[in-house]
Amino acid sequence: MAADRPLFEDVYRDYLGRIYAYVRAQVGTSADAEDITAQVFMNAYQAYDRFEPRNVTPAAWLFRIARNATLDHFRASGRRDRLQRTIEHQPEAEHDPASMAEERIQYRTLLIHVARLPERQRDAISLRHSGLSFEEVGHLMSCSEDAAKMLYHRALKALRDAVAAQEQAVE
Amino acid sequence: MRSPPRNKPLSDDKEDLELQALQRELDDAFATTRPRRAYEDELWLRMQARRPLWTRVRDMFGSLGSLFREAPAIPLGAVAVLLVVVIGASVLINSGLRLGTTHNSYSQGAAAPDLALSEFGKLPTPALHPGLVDRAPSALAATPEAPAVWSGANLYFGPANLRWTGQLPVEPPSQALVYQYSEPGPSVFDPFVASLGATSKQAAAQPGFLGTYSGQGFTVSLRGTVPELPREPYFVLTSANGAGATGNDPQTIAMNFLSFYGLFPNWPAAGGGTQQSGQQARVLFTRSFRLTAGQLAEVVDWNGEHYGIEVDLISSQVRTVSGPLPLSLVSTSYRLISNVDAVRMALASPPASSQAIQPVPTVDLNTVEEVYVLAVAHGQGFYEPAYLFSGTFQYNGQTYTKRVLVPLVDPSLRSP
Repeated sequence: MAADRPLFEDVYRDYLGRIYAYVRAQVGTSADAEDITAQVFMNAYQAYDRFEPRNVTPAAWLFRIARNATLDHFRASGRRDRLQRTIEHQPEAEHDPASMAEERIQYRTLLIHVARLPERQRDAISLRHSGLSFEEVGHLMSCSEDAAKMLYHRALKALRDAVAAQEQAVE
Repeated sequence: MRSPPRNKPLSDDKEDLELQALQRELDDAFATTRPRRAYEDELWLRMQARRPLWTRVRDMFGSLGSLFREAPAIPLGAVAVLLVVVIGASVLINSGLRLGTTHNSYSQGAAAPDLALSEFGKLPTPALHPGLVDRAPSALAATPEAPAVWSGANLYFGPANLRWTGQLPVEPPSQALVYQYSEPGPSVFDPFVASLGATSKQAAAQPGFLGTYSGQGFTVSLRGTVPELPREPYFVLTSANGAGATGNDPQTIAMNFLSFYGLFPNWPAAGGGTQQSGQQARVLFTRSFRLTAGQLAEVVDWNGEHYGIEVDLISSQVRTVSGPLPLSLVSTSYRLISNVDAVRMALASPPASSQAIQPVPTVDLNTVEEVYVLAVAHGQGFYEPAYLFSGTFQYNGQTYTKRVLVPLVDPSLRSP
């Protein structure tokens, strides 16, 4: 094992919540988020011997696996239809007291708006607010740091408009 | 915060502030979104269970290697004895056997994260209890015009000559999760009723209930575990005006009602099945637990019926909602029996009821379903994986269904 490679247990403990939040912002249900997160860490566990921390941070390495797993999930399940059904049928105020024992999530409505963004915008927002630098976001999304910044700011404005439109509709 | 340029229009400043506020909200949203509490432990266990044997042995020798480096003066004989003990313990731990108070399957010693796995010890054995009736007021009891039988007609639990003629399901995993709750008290009841908007506790609770609370247009009653059925703590909410219940069909109305009170279940894949009879309808959101990473199993009651949150409507207006009280659950893995053993136990199992049809019928059990079923002991409830076998037979021109429940947790890990 490389001398500077952290124990996988530490990586798991440090990143499980962040990876779950990233995935949860992409998909409509906690069940899907759990499945994908499990797949991410299973894959990471198997590949950990090949992880080279001199070349990439654990965060960037894990988020690449998470991003691929999420894209695979959408490809497999026909993302558009599935997401649309989920959004239409999932009450926005899904605050089940059972979530004390189940998922812990606040800002559910905001995350639903994030999930409705176009794919690359959604990805940029999710990666950035999962703690990655613009350089890392650009690297993961195969674009430059500046392009990642522009994409992110367009996504932020689109998200603000979506939230405002919904607030107006409620009023 | 940076100062805006002097020549910048005010509308730009406003937009900047809006976007900054949104960024803060997104930071909070991503920082506070986390999986349910038991998930971290469950996933770690699954990952450990998938580790190939050679990696466990490698880790074990790695640990021994450091021992040699740190203590070179240890006599070789002692090292040999230690080696035998460690190999034996490692194999046993990783095979899923429970060794006294072993708390998890980590074999790397100090490298194990602080995951605080639960240890439930020997589990009570779940069983069907046909013929028992839940006497507490229920949604149906509150609607006198309800039909006598909604489901479960012609179930037979008496003696029968059993044969297995179905197809064996996919082999169950070697281990699966058991979920546990502890009997709740006011620290659970009070926040729950407060979240519904109930403000006052009525002086006299209904028999069998821990308390009845009222809010604007509704009352909600809470009940603890009924061990003889068994049934977990649950609530019954009775609505006077069906507030929040709009929609074109019973399922939509039920979902909107549950959302209005924050009761929409967050269980995995909680489907809403609808039964309708005239002006009455019942929508059932069945409860399920995760058996493995990609496999759900629905919960069945003491008759083998699926249950969860029930919403009863009359003339498109929600009258009552009842369901399990939201409780904190902890989980841990238990070793399961094989399919072959499960079938053998199904065919040899004693009848759940002594009431018999004569002559004793011969029943071909030909379907099997993976389920979770509740068993209760010492003030704690355990949702345990099981197989629910079933088959039908004819008697006096009617079709009867025979059900047999076989607990999947290894018998050595259960109390008789």
